[in-house]
Amino acid sequence: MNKIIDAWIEIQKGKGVTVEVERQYGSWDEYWGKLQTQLAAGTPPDIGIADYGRVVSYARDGVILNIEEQVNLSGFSMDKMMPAALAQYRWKEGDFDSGNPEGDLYGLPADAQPQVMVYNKKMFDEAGVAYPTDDWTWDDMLEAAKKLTKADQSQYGFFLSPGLMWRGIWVNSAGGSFHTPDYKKSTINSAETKEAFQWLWDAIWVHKVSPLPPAPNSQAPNPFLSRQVAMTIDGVWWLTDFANGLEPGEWDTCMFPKHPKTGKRTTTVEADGFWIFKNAKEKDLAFDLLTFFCSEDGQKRFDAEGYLIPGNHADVANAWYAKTPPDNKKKILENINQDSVKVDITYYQAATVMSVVDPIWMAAFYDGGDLGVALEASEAAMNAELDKAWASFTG
Amino acid sequence: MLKRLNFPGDMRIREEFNAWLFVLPTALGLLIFQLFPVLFSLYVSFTNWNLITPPKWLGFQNYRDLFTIDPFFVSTLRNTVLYAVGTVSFSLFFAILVALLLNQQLKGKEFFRAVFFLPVVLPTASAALAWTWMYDTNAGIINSFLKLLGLAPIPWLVNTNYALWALIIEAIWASLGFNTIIFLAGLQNISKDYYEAASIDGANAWQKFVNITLPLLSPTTFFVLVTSIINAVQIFDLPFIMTGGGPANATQTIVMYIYSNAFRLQRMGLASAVGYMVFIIILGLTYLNFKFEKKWVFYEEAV
Amino acid sequence: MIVARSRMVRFSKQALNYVLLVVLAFIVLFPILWLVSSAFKTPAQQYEWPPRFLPSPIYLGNFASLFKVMPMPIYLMNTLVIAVFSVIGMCISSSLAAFATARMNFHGRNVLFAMLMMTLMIPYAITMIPSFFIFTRLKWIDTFLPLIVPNFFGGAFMIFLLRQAYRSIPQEMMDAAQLDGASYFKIYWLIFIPLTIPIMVTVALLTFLWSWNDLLGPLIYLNDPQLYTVQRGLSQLTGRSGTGIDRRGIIMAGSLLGMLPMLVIYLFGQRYFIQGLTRSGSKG
Repeated sequence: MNKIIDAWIEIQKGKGVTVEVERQYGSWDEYWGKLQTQLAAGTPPDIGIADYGRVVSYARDGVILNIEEQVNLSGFSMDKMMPAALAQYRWKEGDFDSGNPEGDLYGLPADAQPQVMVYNKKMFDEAGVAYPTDDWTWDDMLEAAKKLTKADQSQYGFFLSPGLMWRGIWVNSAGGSFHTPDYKKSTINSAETKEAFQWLWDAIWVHKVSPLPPAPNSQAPNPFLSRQVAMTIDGVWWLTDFANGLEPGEWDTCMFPKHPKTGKRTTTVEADGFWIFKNAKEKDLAFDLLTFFCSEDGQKRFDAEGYLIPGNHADVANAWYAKTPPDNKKKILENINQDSVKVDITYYQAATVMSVVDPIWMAAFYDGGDLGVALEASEAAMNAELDKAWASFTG
Repeated sequence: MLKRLNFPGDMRIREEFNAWLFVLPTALGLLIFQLFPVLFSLYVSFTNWNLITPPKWLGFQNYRDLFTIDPFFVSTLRNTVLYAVGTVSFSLFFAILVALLLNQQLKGKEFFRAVFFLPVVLPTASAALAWTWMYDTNAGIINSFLKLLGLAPIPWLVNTNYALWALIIEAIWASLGFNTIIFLAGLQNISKDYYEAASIDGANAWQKFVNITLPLLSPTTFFVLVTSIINAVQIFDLPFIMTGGGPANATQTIVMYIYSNAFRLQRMGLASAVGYMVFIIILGLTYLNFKFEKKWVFYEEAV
Repeated sequence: MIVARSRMVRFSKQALNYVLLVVLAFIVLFPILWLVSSAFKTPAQQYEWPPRFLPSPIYLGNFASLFKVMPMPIYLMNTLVIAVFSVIGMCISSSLAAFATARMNFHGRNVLFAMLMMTLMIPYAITMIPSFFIFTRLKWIDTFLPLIVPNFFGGAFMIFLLRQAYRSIPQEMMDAAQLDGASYFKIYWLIFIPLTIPIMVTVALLTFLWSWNDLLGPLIYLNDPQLYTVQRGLSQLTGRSGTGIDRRGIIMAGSLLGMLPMLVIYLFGQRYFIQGLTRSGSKG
């Protein structure tokens, strides 16, 4: 990151402007705590890393700057940016969620991170199971998993982190959703959504092809990395670690399995980016740096540093996905282009709502309790929380 | 060289002046870090404040919310109470047991005492990290022992029912030595005469224990009970590191809840209200304890 | 016969006693022993079944990996600085206050002491947020000050301990010194302090322990990773972030390092801990 900022400073020098950039860092959690403190003290930075989940609240509360006009005036080109990523930074005033194509821009995405599916070829070979094809379905996956699970529990068929539920991958593919399109009611207990949840729950407790979800502060490494599962879905950011931890040729990526009825295989896209704070002192310079980060030049530099995965610009992204390992990396891009949605946690106070709802159904996953009861309770809780969020939104 | 004593009044003023100089830092500390916070916290608990915008007066709404619409407070309270009860009761039991064992003419008494006390000085965060690994469902050493004994492994930190027990066990381990030392001191204060007299009367060990040891130990038991409860209710480091409040919020405790409300969600008002609930609970429990003290604590002077 | 039997009974009772103590002591020590052993195991050995006690070879790589993930030496230094200054502050302020309330007469002495003892009931939960507010206004966030400075304003428990010790010094010594014309400070400094070194050591050790082990304070006040204390740094090892098979070893190494200074201090000074606390407990 530093090198890129330095490069930008050099470019500014070329224009006759001398800039100094004060940089502050922290891990993800600390970053937001520290930011809050700074906002409280009235001394936020000029530009910062954005969280797609906070765009709505920050825009609404006047914390971040509306850059729509400036972008248009500057002629910054966005046609090569991935639409799903850009959508996460558009917000129309009065909207409960981001993504309205008529909305104004409140930041720019600097990457587009999908969920990816990986599998361990070696384990498939040992068990004599055919590799996943482009047309395989949930049922195929389950069958394969049964053959890939060892009786002594040293190896499981697949592992899907509970987080995927609220990211919506499985739910979306089944044709379900978490809430009605107007965000007023919960649909977490609808038939389609329930089916998705049930399928994953059965994998753990009925078919036993999936290990228990990890303890919250579990120190256990990623089960795919520690060779305890044959298949997993996780964020694209894990690919580098998989490449480092596993042998080349031992693993590969593939398309998500299709839902047997709907034929969908949705992946979600999350886009981290950058935004400018309203109280910034050097707005123009900040804007320049922002567009630099998100321009093709900036994206190429990030890619070279191995920093952001993967670039938001189609060209940079294509190049990244063409690089192996693993062999079939470009399948991910295909999956994105075929069927991807914005991750469903960007609406107003989504994090708060889900923080109440998630533990309820997750308990059933942890304990093996009745999922139906848990989903009913989740629905009730989610409706209550949505009401609260709306009250706060309009109040 | 004797200085002449001045007027008594003079000396009194000198003493007074000097004394206040001595206690000035502490008195200031009392004001700034105890008195002011108690009052300020009370005020904030009646407001809606996020440190950025000025506080908005809410009256009792925060407190009402805690028991009605707040989705976490009641369960957090329940977790904390269960944790406190489990930890204090077992800790007390084992501490008395070990103190009794140590209260003999033993060689190596000091060594054992030092061993039991060791966990007390260890940082909770570091210890919790180690224990988390011990509790690992698949590869942890505790489940390995269970496997050795032919028992099924327990999903310690993954199951919402077992997670609290995992905390309780660690907490007993960490506080055992402290309570043992205090009970030991209490035991050693009991005069041997009582036991000798009882022996002459033909009492057996159990009778001696119930009729002499327990009653005469009761002031100590009382002290340990009160301090243990106050500590247990405020536990933070252990669940924060070991479970992060999970799984599914099963181990979220009150101080964790205050922390996340205040420093992650910037809800100072609500956090202060929760803080005051803790205060009230502690005061209430201590009051109850003192009330029952008259009934079951036996002070020697009364004999 | 009766004598022999009672001696045998006593012997077997003692034996049972010993056995129980040894078993319990082993259980108590076990986590620490296991931690030490795990810290020196290779990543593969961590998952061995059946688990082994003594790692061979002794593997130092976990510590190397730990240092790559977080700047432990810096954390150790930070924690040391905070702890040492906290100790200095606490010893000075608490002993001054203890002396005054133990051996001096002044208006409000008893009220002050009573209020001080009452503060032991005030939970940190209540003082946490207002303190944060004060330090935010003072712009002391991201410095060591919020963690050090409050110690310069005395601590109720420490004052209690010291006061007990000071009251056990005969009044005659104080009277004699006053007749000699010594100032109060001189009496405090030249008589009471030297005569109560053991309890002062206890206070110092307890303050050091409390500072070293503190997690919540650094969590709240230190955002800059360069300023982290050891426990604060270690708290980052929780959760799923972080790659790799060597994670277990890193965590064990970190945990051990986090405990090590206290282990060492305890080895040499355990009687100060135990005796100091015993005295406070028996009075009730």
